Amino acid sequence: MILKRAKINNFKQFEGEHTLEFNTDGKVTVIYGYNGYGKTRLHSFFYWLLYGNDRDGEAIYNKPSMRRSFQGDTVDIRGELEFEHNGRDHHFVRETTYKKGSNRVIKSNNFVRLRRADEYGNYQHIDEPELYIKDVLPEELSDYFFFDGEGMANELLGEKTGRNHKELKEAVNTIFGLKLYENAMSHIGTIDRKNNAIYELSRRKKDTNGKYKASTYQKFMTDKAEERDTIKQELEKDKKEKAEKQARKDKLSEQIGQKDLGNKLNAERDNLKKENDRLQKRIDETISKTGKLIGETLSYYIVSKNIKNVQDLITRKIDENYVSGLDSRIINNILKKDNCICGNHISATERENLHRLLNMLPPHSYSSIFYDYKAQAEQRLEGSKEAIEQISNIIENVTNYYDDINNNNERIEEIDSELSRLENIQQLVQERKELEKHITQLEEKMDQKNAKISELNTLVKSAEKKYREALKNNEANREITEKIEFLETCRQEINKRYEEYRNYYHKQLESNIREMIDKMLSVKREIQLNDNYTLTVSDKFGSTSLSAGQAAIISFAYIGGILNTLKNLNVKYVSQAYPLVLDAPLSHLDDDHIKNVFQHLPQFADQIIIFSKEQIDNMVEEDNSPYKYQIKTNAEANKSIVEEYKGEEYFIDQNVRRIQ
Amino acid sequence: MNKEKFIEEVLKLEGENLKREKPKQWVIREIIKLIDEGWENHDTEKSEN
Repeated sequence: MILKRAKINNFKQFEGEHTLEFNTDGKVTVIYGYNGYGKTRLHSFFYWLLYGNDRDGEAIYNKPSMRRSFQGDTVDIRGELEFEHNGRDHHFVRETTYKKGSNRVIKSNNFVRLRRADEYGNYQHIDEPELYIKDVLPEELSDYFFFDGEGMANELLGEKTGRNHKELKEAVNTIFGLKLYENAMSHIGTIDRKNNAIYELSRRKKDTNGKYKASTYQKFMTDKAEERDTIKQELEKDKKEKAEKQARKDKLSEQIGQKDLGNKLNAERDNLKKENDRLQKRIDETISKTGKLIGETLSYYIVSKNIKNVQDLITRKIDENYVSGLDSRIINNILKKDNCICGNHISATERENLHRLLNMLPPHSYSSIFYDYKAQAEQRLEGSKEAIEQISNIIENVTNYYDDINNNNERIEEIDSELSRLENIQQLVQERKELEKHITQLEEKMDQKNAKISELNTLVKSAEKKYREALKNNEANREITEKIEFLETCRQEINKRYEEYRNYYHKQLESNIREMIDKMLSVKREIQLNDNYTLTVSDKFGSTSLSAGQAAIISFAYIGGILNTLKNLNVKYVSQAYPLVLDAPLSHLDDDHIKNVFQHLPQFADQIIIFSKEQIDNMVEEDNSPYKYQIKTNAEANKSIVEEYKGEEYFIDQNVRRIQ
Repeated sequence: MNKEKFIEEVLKLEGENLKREKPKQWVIREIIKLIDEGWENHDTEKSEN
């Protein structure tokens, strides 16, 4: 399937008709659009057009224009796609009509039409167009060809996503045509199961006249097989439940593992408390030992420490208040005369200030008081110098002890808050205990089921043997028995081919993906394709962690691997050309990786349509490609248009990453 | 009856089947039809031989 031209009409915010033409010669078609302009919606258009569903479950009509319309009005949404498949041109149309009701919008009509050109180029109608489309590109595979970049990587790398690995396996098996073999085997069936060709044939058999009728054995056999299959299904559910419980238990254990942390913290807390006790004891001892000395010397010590402080203080005070050229004699004179030097009379406030100033000056100044104090103190301290030094050391030690105690107390507070956080561990331990009990019960149940399955298997086998014996001697059943045996051989043959092809494709796919990854990733990785087609990717140290960019590259490599495998193998009933429609896959990649991708993409995909918010002109310039588009939007009116890309100016107003 | 030919026919049928919404009963009926027709030819081949 190679896309040639698409017409979009009134789909979501794309009001009116827009036409996109695609490169069909292996070159890239680029559709530029900023975030929020409608890239992803345009991408989802293809999905709606082909399968009639919206990927995001959104309304496909333009909501504002529907709001503006009146009750009873209808809106048509139309999509057209011209594509080539198996050498023939196709023209597919889908048109959905919505009608505005009194309080909701109703889908009133859905029309699809597919025409295919015959060998002379004349278009003929195809019956059941939707089934035909699903045959061309199975819906479950469409995600891989209408590719949203990041979502897929998670799935491939075995992360939990909405889809499960069974679907991935089905999708890959479908594209390799293996689904044909699986279906064929299930439709031919086995003798002990209902609802298949062998069962239907065996119902034609006539009963023998022996003690027990063949039909009795057949009924017994198929009933028991059905019972066994039901138990098998239940067992699968049990397995899933067990895995979930086990995962929860592991998580709990991880949290409970912090219980050790709690123990460690408690031990540390105890040690700190002990340390504090020791320090306190030391302080007490020091003080009591030196009590006498302190009693006798403390006042001198305080005085000695204070002398300097007081001196600083006095000096500052004097600096602040001292007026140069003034002395007490002049001030006294002024106060006495009540007149200033300039001859003016002095006010009450000025008088008050002068009195205050007078106090600052000898013999009543602070400094003169201080010098008296200092002289007397030093005289008295003379005999206590040694004691003061001792007490100074003791006080320093005690202060250090107190500092240590304070630090320890801070750490104890931290530990206490940590411990209160870990307090609910007991609850977790309880939950884990219950989970363990459930898991054990589940395992017992599973064991019982396994035993029952093997018991039923024995019953089915022995009933089958008796059933075959009961039929053997009956001539009337000879032909049917032969047909059943023939079908059984065919089933085995198909299974043989299936296994052969599956192993071969698996090997090819793995080696193709490895080759792609080696080309596109700068760091060497080990890759392993698992049975369910998920990938395990690890570096040389065995680490499986990947950056978002690396994961995106791996998704490209995977798709590339599938396409390459298809190209090189002659898979019957499966088309080998597919379009790759990529929505904004480049944001997590650095420039070198983007270059790698652009160098290798066209080698594996027959057609690439890329939606980008990065400016990648340089990557596709060599093509001289006319197939570039830009999406413009009027967000307020919820309208977007797609038009031919006019070159760099599209990006001028925006801060856009340019890949050079 | 030719086993290879029969298997090819069944697989072709499965290719068609991929287009169908609910294929199960339809395919089973077709397989039985194939084997019945094949058996008639098979019997003819046998008697001719």
